[in-house]
Amino acid sequence: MPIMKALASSVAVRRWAYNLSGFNRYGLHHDDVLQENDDVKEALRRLPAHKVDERSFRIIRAMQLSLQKIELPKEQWTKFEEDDRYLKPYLEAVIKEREEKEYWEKNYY
Amino acid sequence: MSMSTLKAPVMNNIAKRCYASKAAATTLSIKGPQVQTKKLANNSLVVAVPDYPTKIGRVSVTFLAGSRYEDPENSGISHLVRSSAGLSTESSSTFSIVRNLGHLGANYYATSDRETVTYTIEAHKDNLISGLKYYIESISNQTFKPWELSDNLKRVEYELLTLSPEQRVLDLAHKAAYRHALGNTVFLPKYNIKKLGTEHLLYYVKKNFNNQNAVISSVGVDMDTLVHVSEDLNLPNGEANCSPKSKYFGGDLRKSKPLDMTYLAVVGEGVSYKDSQSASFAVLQYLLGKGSSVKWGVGQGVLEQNILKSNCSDNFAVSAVNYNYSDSGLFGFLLAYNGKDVSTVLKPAVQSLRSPTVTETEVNRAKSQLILSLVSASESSAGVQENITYQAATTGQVIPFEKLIAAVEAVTVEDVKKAAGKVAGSKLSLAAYGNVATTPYLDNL
Repeated sequence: MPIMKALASSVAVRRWAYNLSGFNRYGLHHDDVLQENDDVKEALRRLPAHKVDERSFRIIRAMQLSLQKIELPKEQWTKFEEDDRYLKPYLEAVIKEREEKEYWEKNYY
Repeated sequence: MSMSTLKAPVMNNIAKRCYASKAAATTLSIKGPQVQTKKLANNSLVVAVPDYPTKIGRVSVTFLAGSRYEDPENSGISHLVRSSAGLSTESSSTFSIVRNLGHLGANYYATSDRETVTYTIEAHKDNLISGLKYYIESISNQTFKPWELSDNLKRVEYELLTLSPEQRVLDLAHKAAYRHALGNTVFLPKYNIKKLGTEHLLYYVKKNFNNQNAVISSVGVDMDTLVHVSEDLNLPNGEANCSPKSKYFGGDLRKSKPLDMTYLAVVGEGVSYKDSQSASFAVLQYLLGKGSSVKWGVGQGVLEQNILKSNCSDNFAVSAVNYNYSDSGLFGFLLAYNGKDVSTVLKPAVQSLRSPTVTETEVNRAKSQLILSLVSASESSAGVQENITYQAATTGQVIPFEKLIAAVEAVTVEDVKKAAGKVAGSKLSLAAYGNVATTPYLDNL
């Protein structure tokens, strides 16, 4: 599906999809709304403390907003360009390590 | 992979009881293994004993990065460096290092003492080469990831809790004797456990792990392999480590602990490893006694006999200690006692340290015990490896085994008396650990 691929790699389309997803209206970042599976939990454990604090603040604020059925003022929404994917390097390392373990267990036991 | 404090040479002198039988008094025709030494173009020192009759190959990489090179701020960091051996590197995870080495049946461990930090791998010769890849990676590309360090802390704490009082008291004795440099503690102090992190470790390793400070040694592995190891390590060309020359001060340190026993170390100034008197000091150590040579027996050493003569009814154990470092040394004894008044055993022990009875028979007995311990250490390839590594790291050269034995045999009664005189002439240091209530102070001895 080369058309889908081209669409997915286009910045404009990605920005459109990002704004459509809606979590940015609560001031959340992409990595704040990941499913907390074991990999993410491990990555969060490795994340420097101040980044974890920032994340917690955003989540708590979002829950408060959701409870009050309101959104942040539009100038405070997270912009597509400002979303930093802070968990990505840690998560990738965790997944790589897990896959390495699985490979070992498959091939050497 | 094992990283145990017991590997530190501090322990060897106490832990090894020597069961010496009657050694031949005539000149022994002992031939040691052939040692090859080479200074590489990148300034690393390489020492190999390729022809040792063994199926196991051992390779050590030693850095002059022991506790004497620490600053007051990062006290105990060499302990943490040792304890962090095998953690994830830039390109391999802990898991892959441990599993791959384990799969090859290799043994990888790190040891450290006051002068050095050593990484050793041992494996069957067929497997050693494939294991070296992980070994080299884990030495030269350490990253000390913060979460791995904090996972490791529990083990470090456990290690500190299992330290024996003997180790603690000898550490205190070094502190009392040297104050700084060689007086730095080899164990991570409690206040630094949480304080020292990734940045500290990376800085320390970057500063000290370079070609000038490296000694690569092996038993059962040829020189060419070691040259390749040195190339693959790809260490930076830093500056040679210069710690301030160790000056002997002497002093009094004690630590009260809720123990029934009193542990005492009394030491005077000894000699460095390369000093011409070092053989006499080694003989003097055996003359004073390193515990019993016969199981359940009483030691023949002058120290023990002298204490027994004073009709002490309580339990005690005593052993002479002799430490030789690159620029200084300590000589004295270690005493454990569980009676009421420690001075009843301490007084005769100090008296025999200051003026031991040095007779021809005693010197001969000491010499044959020392030769036996040297020979038995050379029987195992691990012993040879440890010996050449330590010699190369502290003196920059390795004395052939035959010469060591010859030096011991050449020691005369006069030499031993001179050595004893030197210890008696220096200001003593006293360290006490455990139940220190009745321990006399230095000026009352």
